[in-house]
Amino acid sequence: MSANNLTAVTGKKGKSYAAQKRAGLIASYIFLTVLSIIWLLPILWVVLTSFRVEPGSFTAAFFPQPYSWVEGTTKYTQTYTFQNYIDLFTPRDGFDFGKMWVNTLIVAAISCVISTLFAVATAYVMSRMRFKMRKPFMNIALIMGMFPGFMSMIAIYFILKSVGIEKTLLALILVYSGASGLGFQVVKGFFDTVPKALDEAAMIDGANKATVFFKIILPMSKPIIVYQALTAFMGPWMDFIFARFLMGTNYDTYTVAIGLYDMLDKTRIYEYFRQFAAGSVCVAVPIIILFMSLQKYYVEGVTGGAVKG
Amino acid sequence: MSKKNLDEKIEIPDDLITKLSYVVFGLGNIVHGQIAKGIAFLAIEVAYILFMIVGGFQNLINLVTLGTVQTGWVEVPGKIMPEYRLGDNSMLFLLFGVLTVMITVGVVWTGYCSHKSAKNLQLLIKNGKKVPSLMDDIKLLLDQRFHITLLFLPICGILVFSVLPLIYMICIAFTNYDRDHQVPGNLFDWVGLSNFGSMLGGDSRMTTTFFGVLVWTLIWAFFATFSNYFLGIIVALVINQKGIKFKKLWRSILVLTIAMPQFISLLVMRSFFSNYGVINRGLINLGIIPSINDTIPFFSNPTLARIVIIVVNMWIGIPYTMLMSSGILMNIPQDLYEAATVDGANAVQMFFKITLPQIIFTTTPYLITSFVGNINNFNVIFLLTAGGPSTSEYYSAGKTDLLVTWLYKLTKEKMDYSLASTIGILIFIISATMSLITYTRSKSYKEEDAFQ
Amino acid sequence: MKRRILALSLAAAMVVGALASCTAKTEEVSSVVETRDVKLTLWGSEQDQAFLKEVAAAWATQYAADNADVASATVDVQIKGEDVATTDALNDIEAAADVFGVANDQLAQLTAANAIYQMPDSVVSDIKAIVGDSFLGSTMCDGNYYGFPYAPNTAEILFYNKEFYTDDEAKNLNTMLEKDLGGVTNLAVDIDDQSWNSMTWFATAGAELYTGGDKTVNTMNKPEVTAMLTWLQQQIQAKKIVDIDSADNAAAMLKDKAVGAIFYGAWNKAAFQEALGDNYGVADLPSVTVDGACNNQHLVCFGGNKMLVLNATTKEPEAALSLAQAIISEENQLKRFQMVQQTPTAPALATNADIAADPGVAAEVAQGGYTLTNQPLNGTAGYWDLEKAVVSDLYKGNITADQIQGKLDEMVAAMQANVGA
Repeated sequence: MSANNLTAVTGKKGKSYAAQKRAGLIASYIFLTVLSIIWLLPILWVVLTSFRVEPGSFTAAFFPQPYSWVEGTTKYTQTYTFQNYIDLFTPRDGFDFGKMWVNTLIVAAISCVISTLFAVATAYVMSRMRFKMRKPFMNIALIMGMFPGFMSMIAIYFILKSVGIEKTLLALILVYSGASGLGFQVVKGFFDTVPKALDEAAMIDGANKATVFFKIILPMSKPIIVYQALTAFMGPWMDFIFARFLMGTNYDTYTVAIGLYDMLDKTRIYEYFRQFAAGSVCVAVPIIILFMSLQKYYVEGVTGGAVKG
Repeated sequence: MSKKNLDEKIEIPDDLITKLSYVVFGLGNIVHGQIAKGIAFLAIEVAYILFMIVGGFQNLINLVTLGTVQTGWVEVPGKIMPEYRLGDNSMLFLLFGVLTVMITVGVVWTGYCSHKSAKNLQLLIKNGKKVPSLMDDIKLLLDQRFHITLLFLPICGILVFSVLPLIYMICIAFTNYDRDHQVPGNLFDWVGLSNFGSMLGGDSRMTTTFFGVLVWTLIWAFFATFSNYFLGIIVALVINQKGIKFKKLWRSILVLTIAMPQFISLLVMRSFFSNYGVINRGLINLGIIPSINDTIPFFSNPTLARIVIIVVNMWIGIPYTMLMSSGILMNIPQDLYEAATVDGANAVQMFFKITLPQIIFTTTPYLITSFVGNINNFNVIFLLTAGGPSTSEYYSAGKTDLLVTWLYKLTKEKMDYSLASTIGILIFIISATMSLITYTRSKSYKEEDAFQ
Repeated sequence: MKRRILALSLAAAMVVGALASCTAKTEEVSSVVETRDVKLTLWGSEQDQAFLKEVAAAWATQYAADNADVASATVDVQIKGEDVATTDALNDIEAAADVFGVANDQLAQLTAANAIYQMPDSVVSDIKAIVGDSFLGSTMCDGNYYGFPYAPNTAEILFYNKEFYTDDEAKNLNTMLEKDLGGVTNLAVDIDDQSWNSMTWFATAGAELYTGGDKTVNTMNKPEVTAMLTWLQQQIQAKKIVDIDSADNAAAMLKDKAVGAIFYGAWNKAAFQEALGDNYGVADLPSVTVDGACNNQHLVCFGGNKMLVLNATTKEPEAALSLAQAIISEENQLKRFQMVQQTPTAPALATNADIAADPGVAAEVAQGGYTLTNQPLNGTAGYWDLEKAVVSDLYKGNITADQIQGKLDEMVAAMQANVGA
C-alpha cells in the first residue's frame, strides 16, 4: 500500500522504481511457481500411483496417460482405478488397514493429550517457578534427547514386558508420551513471552499458582498448545521402527506405519506398491486437513516458542 | 517463602527424633503430629525393605555378576528332544539391576527428605510455631510447591522411559555384549573400558571408520542445518514481500510435505534418484543421457550421494524453517521499516540491517537444537541410501552413514551391542558438549528473565 | 507432599509386584498330566500363508489323533518372512514362534545365542532321506544339524528377452556379451544392492569360502578371481554389463528393453515374467570362458536354503518337531509347489512332470547343481559388506585393474579377522 502511494507521489523516479518492483514481483512469482512444482511433484506422483493399474513402483511414464492402447488390439485400457483403495481396505491375513488406521488414531489422540499435558506442565514450571534443581534439570533435559533413541528400544520393551503390556496399544501410548516432559523447550519459550506482570496481578488478587496456571496462562496459550498437540499427534503416524519392534506379530495392534512399511519389503513391493501409495494418501489426508485448519496457530506457536527455546 | 528461609538459617543441633528420621522414615512427622505424612514416609521404607527381601537384593547381586547359570540342555529319557533349561539372562539382570539401583537412590533421597521434614518440624516447635496440617501441605502443593505437583508425573515418565534405558545403555558399553555373548543362550560380563580402547585407536579399521563417519556426520549436520535455515528464510521473505498475492496458498503448498510421513516421501525420493529411477529414465528418454550405462550415479558416487542427500533434506526441511521465519517476519514491527524508508534506506539495506539481525537473534536456540537433531537424523540417511555406497575402507559402514545409522547397523546386522553403545556414548558426549556450551552462552539462556 | 508420597509408595508397590513376578519365574510344570492342549505358533512368509495354514491344520488333526495325551492341537500361523525372522526372534526368543523359517546364513546367529534346537541323529537321518546330502549340509553349523530345509535359496538365475537372445545363445555368456543388440546393453547384474548376488564372479573363478564350516578356508583372493574381476571390469567399461540397484529397477529395465538379459534371484520371477510377456526367457546361468580364470565354466552362484528351525524355548518340542517334519514331507513339498510354485528341496520331486514343466523352477533346480554353499558361521555377516565394497569400487572404477589383487588380499584379511580365524 505505502509503496503504491510513494510511487504516485514521486512521479518519474517512481516509475522506474515501480518497473523494478514489478520485475522483482514477476521473478518472485516464477520462483514460487518453480518451487511449488518441485514440492508438489513427488506428492502428486504418490497420489497418481495410488490410482494406478500397473504394478511395481516404476512405470514407463512419469504420469501414465488415463487410457492406453493395448498392443495388437484396437482396445483401450484404463490405467487409473479405485481398486487399490478397495484392496487396501479389504482385510486380509494379518493386514487390516481400517483397523490399523483406527489404532493409530487412538494412539495418536491419547498420546497427544498426555504429551501435551506433560510438556505444558513442565514448561510452565521451568518458565515460572524458581527452585534449586531448575537449571540442572533444564540442562539435563537438553542433552537427554541426544542419545540415539532406538538404542533404548530393547530396554523399554523389557520394562513393558515386565508389567505384561508389551504388545498393546497402551504400550505404544506410553512410549510415545512417557518421556514427553523432556520436550518442554518450545512451550517454555512461548510462556516466557507471556508477561509476568499478569501472574503478579492475579497473585495480588489472591490467586495461587495453580489458579494462575489454569485460569491465566493456559487460556492464553492456545497457539502453543495446538503446536505441541499437532506435533505429538503426527508422531504415531510416522514411526515405523519403534512400533514394529514393540508389536511383534500382534496384528490387532498394528499401526499404519507398520503396515505401510512392511509393504516395502523387497519381495512384496512389486505387488503392493500401489496399495502403499493409497495407504500413504489415507495417512496424509487427515494430517493435511488438521494442519491446514490449524496452520495459523501452528505458525504462531512455532514462532513464539521455537525461536526462544 | 521468606519465613521458611529464615527458619532454615537458624542452626540448631538435630535432636534424637530428627536423627532417627534418617533411619525410620517419617518418625519426626509422626512424633510431631503429622501422622498421615509420617505414615506415608514409613510406607515407602517398608515397601522398599519388602522389595529388597523379595528380589531387590538379589537384583543388586545379579547386577554385579550379570548371571552365573549358563543356559543348557537336559536329555529327557523316553523323548526324542532334550529339554531346554533357561539359565540366567544377563541383559535382564543388568536392566533390573539398574532399576533397583534407581529405586534405592530414590529411597535414600526420601530418607533425606524425611530428615529434612523432621528437622523443619523440630525448628517450628522450638520457635513455638504451629505444625502445618495436612490441608496446609496440600495448599502448599498448589502454590509455592506447585512445581512438585506439576512435575510429578512428567518426571516419573522421564525416569522410566528415558533415564532408565539411558543408564542401561551406558552400562552396555562396559560389557562384552556382542554376537558371541547373546542372551538368553549365553552370559555376558563386565569388561571395563576395552570397547572404548578399540574404538579410539586399538582397532585401526574401526578407528578409520569412526573418524571418517564422524567427519561426514559433522559436515552433514552443518549443511543440513544451514541450507534449510537460510533457504527457508529466503522463501519466507519472497512469500511475505509486499505485493505477492495468495500468500497462504504458497505457504500451504510447502506445508503439504510436513503432513506426508517422512518414510513415504523419502522412499519416493529414493526411487526418483536411483540408477534407473524416474530422473535417470527421464533423461534417457529425452536423449540427454545416451544409454543406461551412462546414468548419473546419484546414490553410488559418494560425493554425489552426499549432495543429493542434502538437497533432498532441503525438500523436507525448508517448509519448517519457512513457517518459522514467516512468523518472525510478521512480528517485526512495521514502524522499523517505515522509519528506515524515511531515512532513505533501500530494500537490501533494510534486509541486512533490520530483517536478518532480527531473525538470527531470535533463532539461535533453534539452530542449536536443529544442528544436534541433524547429527542424529536417522530417517533421511536410513531411508534414502541406507548408508551406501559401500566402501572397503570402513567397518560395516558406507560413505553416507552417520554415526547414528552406523550404530543401527551394528546392532541390527552385527549384533555388536557393546560397540554400538560405545558409539552412542561418544555421540552423546560430542553433541551434549557442543550444545551445552552454545546453549548456556546464548543470550536467551543468560537473559531469560529479561524477556518477561 | 502427601500426594507425592502416596504416588511414590504406589509406584514402589507396583515395582515390587513387577519385580517379584519376574524374579520368581522358575515354576516347574512336571506333574503328570492326563491330556493337554497343544498350541503352537508358526512363522512363515506372506506368500506361504495359505499353504502353511492348510498343512498345519491337517497336521493338528493328525497329531491329536495320534497322541493319547493330546486333547487337541492348534497351530497359529503368523506372517514373518525368512528375512526378518532371525532378528525378531533374537530380540525376544520367548515371544518368538515355536517353529519358524529362516535363511541358512542366519543359522550361526541363532545357534550362537543358543536359541534353537539341535537335531538329534534320528531326526537328521529322516531329513536326509527327504532332501539329500547337499541340502542337509547347508543346515549344519559347527558340526551339528539344526533345521528342515524347505526351499533352495539360489542367489541368481538368468532372465532374458527372447527378442534379443535365442535359447541357445543364452547358454553362453561370451556369446551373449559379444552380440550387438543395437544400443541395448547386453546384461544387467546386481553389483551394489545385495552382495551375495555378486559372489557369482568369485564362485565361478573357483573361490572357496569356509567350505565345510572351516573358518580357515578362504580363497577369495586367488589369481583366478583377479582374472575374473579384471574381465568383469572390462565388460563394464565396454558398456556390456550394467548394475541393477533394486529389484524393481530390474523389472523396469527388462520392460523398457534397456537390457537384453539380467542375472537375478528367482524370487522375483513373477515380476520379470509380467515385464517381458511373450518374450520371457528363463534359464540357469550360462557358461563362460575367461582367460586365466576358467574355461567354459558354468557360472556358479552363491546359494543356501530356507529352513524351518525349532525355538529352543518352545513348551512343546516334540510337537514342534512333528509339525516341521510334516511341512517338509515330500507330499507337502509337492503341494507347496502346486500352491505357490515353490521350488522343492526333495531331489525325488525334480523329475516330477509338473515341476520339470515350470521353466522358472526348472532353471532353479538346474542352477542348484552349480552353487557355492553359503556357510553359516558366526561373524560372517561382515563378509557381505567387505565383498560388496570391493565389487562396488571395481564397478565405479575406483579400483584399477592392477589394484584388484591388492584389494582382494586386504578383503580376505579383514574377513578372516571378522570370523576370528
